[in-house]
Amino acid sequence: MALTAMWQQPGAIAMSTFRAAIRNRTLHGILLGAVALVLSSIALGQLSVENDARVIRDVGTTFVSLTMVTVAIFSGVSLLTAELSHKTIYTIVTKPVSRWMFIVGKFLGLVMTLAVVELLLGGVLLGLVVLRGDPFGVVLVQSLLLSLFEGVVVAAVAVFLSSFSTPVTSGVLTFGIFVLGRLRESLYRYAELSPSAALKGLMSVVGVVIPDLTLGRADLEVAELLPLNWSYVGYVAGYDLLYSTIVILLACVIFSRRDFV
Amino acid sequence: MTDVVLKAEKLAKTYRIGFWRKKVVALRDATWEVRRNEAFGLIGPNGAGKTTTIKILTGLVSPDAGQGWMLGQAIGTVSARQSLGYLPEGPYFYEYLNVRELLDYYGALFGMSKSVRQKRAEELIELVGLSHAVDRPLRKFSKGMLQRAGLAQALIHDPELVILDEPKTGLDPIGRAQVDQIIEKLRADGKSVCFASHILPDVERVCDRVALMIGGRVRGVGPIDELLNARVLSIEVVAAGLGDERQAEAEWMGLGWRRLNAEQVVLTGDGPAQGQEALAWVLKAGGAVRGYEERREHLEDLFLRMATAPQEGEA
Repeated sequence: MALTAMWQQPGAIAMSTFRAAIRNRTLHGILLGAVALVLSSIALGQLSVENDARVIRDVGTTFVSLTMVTVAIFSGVSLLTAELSHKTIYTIVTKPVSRWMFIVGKFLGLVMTLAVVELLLGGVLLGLVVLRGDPFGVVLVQSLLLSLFEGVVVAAVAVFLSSFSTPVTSGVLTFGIFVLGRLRESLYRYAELSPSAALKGLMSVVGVVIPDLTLGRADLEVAELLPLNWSYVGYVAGYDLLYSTIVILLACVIFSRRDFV
Repeated sequence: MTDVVLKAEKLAKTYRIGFWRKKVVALRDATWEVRRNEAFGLIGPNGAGKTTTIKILTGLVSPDAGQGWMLGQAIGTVSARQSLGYLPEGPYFYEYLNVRELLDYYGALFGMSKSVRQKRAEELIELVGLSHAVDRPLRKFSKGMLQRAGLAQALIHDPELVILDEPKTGLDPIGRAQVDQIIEKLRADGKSVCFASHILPDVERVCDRVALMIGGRVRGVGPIDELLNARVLSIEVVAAGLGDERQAEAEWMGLGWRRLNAEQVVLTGDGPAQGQEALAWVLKAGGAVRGYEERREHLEDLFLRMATAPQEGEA
């Protein structure tokens, strides 16, 4: 009972955040553009001689993934700054609501938004595959799930950075971390081949700090319709959940020390 | 201690602003308390430190020094805010919500059940006079209507202590009178109210005690009557039947002379002694006394007196 009561406030904040997000016209614009891009994979598929179904799967999942990251960065960096700039936070954290409850509630609302975006775009892509009568594989669903997990990690990073910096700085840094996260394996290989000890040292730091976003990439499997092992999907989910939790905890610590002048 | 619902003790805050982190002292050694069931006014000009004090007490800002208690709990803790209602200055809310949804949301933050939230929201919408706009999104509210919505959210959980920062900003005369009525009602219900304002007549009308803040310092705390100087600042005698040939004589006595109309003049003087002299002179000169008034210090006079007085430690 006490546990339920403890989550009532973050739950209320999460629902409020979710309602605000789904009414946001910028998000509507991004989604419309994303749906158009996913559908444009049909046209791109026509360029392929025999593998149009493969191109649609490949391009479609890539567009879904990039849209998730875009929404995660855009919504994540504005999540706290909108509350601060509009001073709506004054009437929230002066209620019996801990700062961590506020951050966790806002983040959960964002995760709900990402899940709805994923459902919508994933639904469009899967609908397209089914309607065209293209071969369908469970790896498509697995790939969409992995995109959602990646979006959650990127959103957590955006929320963390926006807990102490401006939206522009947070946005740029989050995008940079996303790119580094996606290029992590390549950077590691480059560092291993490099004679520079400094670069090797830097990569060991990057390995700890930057999330491994290569884990959730399943481009080859999607293209070839090779199913992933569900235990691997669970492993990636666990990794992303753990990384997001740590980052959000750090955001809670920073946010709890902030003055709202 | 049990009679004290809010206490600030030697609170201090220095902000660091700009690229060079320039120090700006917002508050020094602020000490005052609000007692149960009283209306307490925090007064001072803009930049006096009123809002900083309130932000510290409500947990928005942490103090550099000093401490505070709210309803027996240390300030800044979640439990301290359980029975606090707070209206910030110039409140902003989620624009896509209507006032009913807004109150429902804030009620949920207090852990109130859905049915209690709904009932309470309807009562408060009626109380603050927003019944005509329940379905209107807040982005279409005027400044005064937002202020009313802000007042309603501060009262959603029937708090023991209400802190209002400039509660009458943006309100029309009817709205201002309604705020007075709400404060009176809160007191009648046994609640305590602390509000910051620079509109002194409002404070004088509603508050039992005040803290006067200037330049980040508390310059005086207590009942308004005790803070005000009891001495008579000036007198006014309204006299009839005195011709203008008497003006020079009155001025020779040190009285001011202002003709009100063809029949009446107003004589002004510095204090009660001069008032007695003026009364005697009017009668001696064959005139009639139509009125006599002694003007004592008002909160505004006190405000100006404190604002211009040298501060402790100043040369």
